Amino acid sequence: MYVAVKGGEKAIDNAHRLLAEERRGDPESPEVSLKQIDQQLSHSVDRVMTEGALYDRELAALAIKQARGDLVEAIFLLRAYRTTLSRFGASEPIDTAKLLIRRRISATYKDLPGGQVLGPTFDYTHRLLDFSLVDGTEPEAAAESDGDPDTPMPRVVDLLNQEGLIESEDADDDTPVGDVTREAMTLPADRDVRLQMLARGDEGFVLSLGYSTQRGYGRNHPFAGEIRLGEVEVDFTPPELGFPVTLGEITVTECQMVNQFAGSATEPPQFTRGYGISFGHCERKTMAMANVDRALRARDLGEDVSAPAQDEEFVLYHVDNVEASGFVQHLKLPHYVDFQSELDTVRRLRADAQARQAGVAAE
Amino acid sequence: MNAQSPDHNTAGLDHQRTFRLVLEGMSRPGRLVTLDAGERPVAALNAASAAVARTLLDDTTPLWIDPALADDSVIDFLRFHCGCPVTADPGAAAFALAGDGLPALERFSIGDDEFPEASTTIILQVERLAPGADVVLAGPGIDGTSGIADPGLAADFWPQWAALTPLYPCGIDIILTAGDTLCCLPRTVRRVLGRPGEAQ
Amino acid sequence: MTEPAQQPLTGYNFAYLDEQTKRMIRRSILKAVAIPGHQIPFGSREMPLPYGWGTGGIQVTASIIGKDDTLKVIDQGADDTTNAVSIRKFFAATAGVATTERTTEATIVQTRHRIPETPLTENQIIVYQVPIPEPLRWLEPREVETRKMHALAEYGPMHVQLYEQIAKYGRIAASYDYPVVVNGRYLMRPSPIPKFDNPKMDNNPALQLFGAGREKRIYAVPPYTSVKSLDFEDYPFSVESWEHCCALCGSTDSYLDEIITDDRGGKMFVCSDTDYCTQRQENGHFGPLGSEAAE
Repeated sequence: MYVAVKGGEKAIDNAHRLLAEERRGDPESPEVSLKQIDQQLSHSVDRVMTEGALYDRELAALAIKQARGDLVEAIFLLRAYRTTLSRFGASEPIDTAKLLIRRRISATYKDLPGGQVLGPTFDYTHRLLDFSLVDGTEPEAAAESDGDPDTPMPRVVDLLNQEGLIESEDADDDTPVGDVTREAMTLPADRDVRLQMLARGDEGFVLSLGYSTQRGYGRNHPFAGEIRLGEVEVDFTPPELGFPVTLGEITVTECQMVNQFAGSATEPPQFTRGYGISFGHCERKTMAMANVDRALRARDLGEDVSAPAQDEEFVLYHVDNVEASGFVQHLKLPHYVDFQSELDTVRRLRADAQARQAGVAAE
Repeated sequence: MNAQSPDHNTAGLDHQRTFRLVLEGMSRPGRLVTLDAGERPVAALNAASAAVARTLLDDTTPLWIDPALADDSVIDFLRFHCGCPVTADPGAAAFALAGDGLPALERFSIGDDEFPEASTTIILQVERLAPGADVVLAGPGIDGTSGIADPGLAADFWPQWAALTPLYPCGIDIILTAGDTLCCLPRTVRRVLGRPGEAQ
Repeated sequence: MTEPAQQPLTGYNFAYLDEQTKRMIRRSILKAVAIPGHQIPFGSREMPLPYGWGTGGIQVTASIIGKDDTLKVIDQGADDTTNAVSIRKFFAATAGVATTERTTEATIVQTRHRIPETPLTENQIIVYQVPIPEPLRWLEPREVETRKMHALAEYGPMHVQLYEQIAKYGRIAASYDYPVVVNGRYLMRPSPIPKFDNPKMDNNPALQLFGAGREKRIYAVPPYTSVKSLDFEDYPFSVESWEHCCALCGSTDSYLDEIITDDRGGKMFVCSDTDYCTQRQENGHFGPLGSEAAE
């Protein structure tokens, strides 16, 4: 006697209990705290906040813990939570020129007002496993800067702009900014929507696309004009007050690429720009994002659109890892009804073919 | 957590009930659907119009209002319950609220061939919505034909409506209201000759 | 079989989505009904279930469902497949609605890959989970292009594709997600139902709603609306058929799952619609293996 598979509900409940057990691991080892994740796995937290599109270090740490360190899963958890939050309004644009700088480097000038500030970076570490971390050692204190913290650090692109050497980008305050989390994206997309998609986009996908432009698939001659990391205040203007109040401070990383020049009959040659930004410290992501942003501007700048990174529809529809992960993994859901339908078709086609062959043989 | 106050949730459930009835109306053109809409909240709006507005309008839906309806109490009601921006241009309206002062249909947006949904939905207050055979309708959602008594639309309404048909999928969708009853005319519906219930 | 309504989960809005989101989705649904078969872009939200696992259907259901509804959720025709169980639990928890496995008791049926064998009625709404809403996608991957093709009703390439299958295989080789034309105007993907179910869509008394969450589209077929599967005069549309009846209920006109019973080529066929099969057995209909169970 055949009995159909039943008890999906029980199986699911049990699977969830097993998952919770495995997440906890050996109960003898101490449970990791959110503070530890926030403080000691801070780049994970930064990435989850950026791609999760929600600035909350504690929630991001919780998501990482719940996801057992699977960052794409943690991003999904944070996004799903974000959806349920009420909206009170939009903050004022942040002014990255006023960033309290912790790191600021430019590859286009040897020195510049405010100077080069190396800050916390892996860049010049030798990638040797540090066995002193096995048991943990207190790090040596870094020297305090003796510079004046009030020294202005103008953005490199603003310096170039003084000479008119780079295209200017003036905020157009009258045009509402798109929001892909509220309205379906329509194509062609404007740059605000593209930048939002890229900022939320998967770091790996953006990295590879950005890399591909450097290898000639949509080359646009990037120079890292400036990368800056620091804290900036977020202001909000409540309609009932009519003036901005400061909500708090966030950490951001910003990258401005200076790209190949363009000119026309009416416009003298100028450098162009690519832009990247993230919550927290996500330097690789912002640089790659700036490359891809510039590549996606090909159409606007009258360049050929031939490489994958320049293909707006391809990039924007595949950059989101919550979408991609869900759809790739949905293949493990049952598809046996469709498969049965295909079996039916293939059997008929084979029967037709065999009949034809038999007919040929009989002739 | 997105905890909702009990008040809010009650309103939410009211909106759900109203929406399901609007959906029934839009899915089954010509069917008279009665809302449990209570008293009319402001004199110029019937109970059904007010309930539909509360259910469908918000700060993302520009509304055009028939000047004949647009007294202060109506504007206050819409501002408080819907928060919708009011536009003077029918062509820019996602929704319109109209009565006897309904302008020519061609002044509203009918969308375009790529985005036919970018059109105006009109909530149109009429004299009466009652069973009958004065207006017989056919189209998707109707098993054969359906009919209603003459709702008291202006004489030039049906010729204007017929003129929109060849422009499909562009078009206008209308929610007729009277008292606490509504009846929908999606753009696919046609007025036909004959009697309700007959096969087309 | 039927679970009564219960108190919904505290801390979240009724049926999870906030009221503003529901309003946006409701407006999209009304437009979808007014333009049968046309895909309406909507501001799809990130749901707590993964994209590709029914988020579009879930958002549509969440926007229409009320306290008095009774929900049935099926995947592959069955109520007890894991994802159907998961989605049913989601609504039982967030909306506290009654749920059922009986097609006849449901006011809303959310489905993946099947239409129930039991005919739907005017009092029911069926919500399809849709992975890829664009019927022209395999012919033209670009949204910008397919939108133009729909605007112009330029569906010739789809006919050409089916004709090429006839040229190559001697018959149309499409088997599921078989393209249909709705109300004589829009080419539409019926979602990955087997073509066996396509005829059920035509002139159905129930409202049919389609939600694609990841692709952010909603579309609809109103009741009593023409839904025609593409075909040619000399190669008419046809559906799957089996030489066997259902091993459990003996049905000869339902869609059957093929089940491998051993590694020596043994197999059996049973109804994909588990409720339909159960009802038939309860009414005394048995197949070759079902009668044993009754003894």
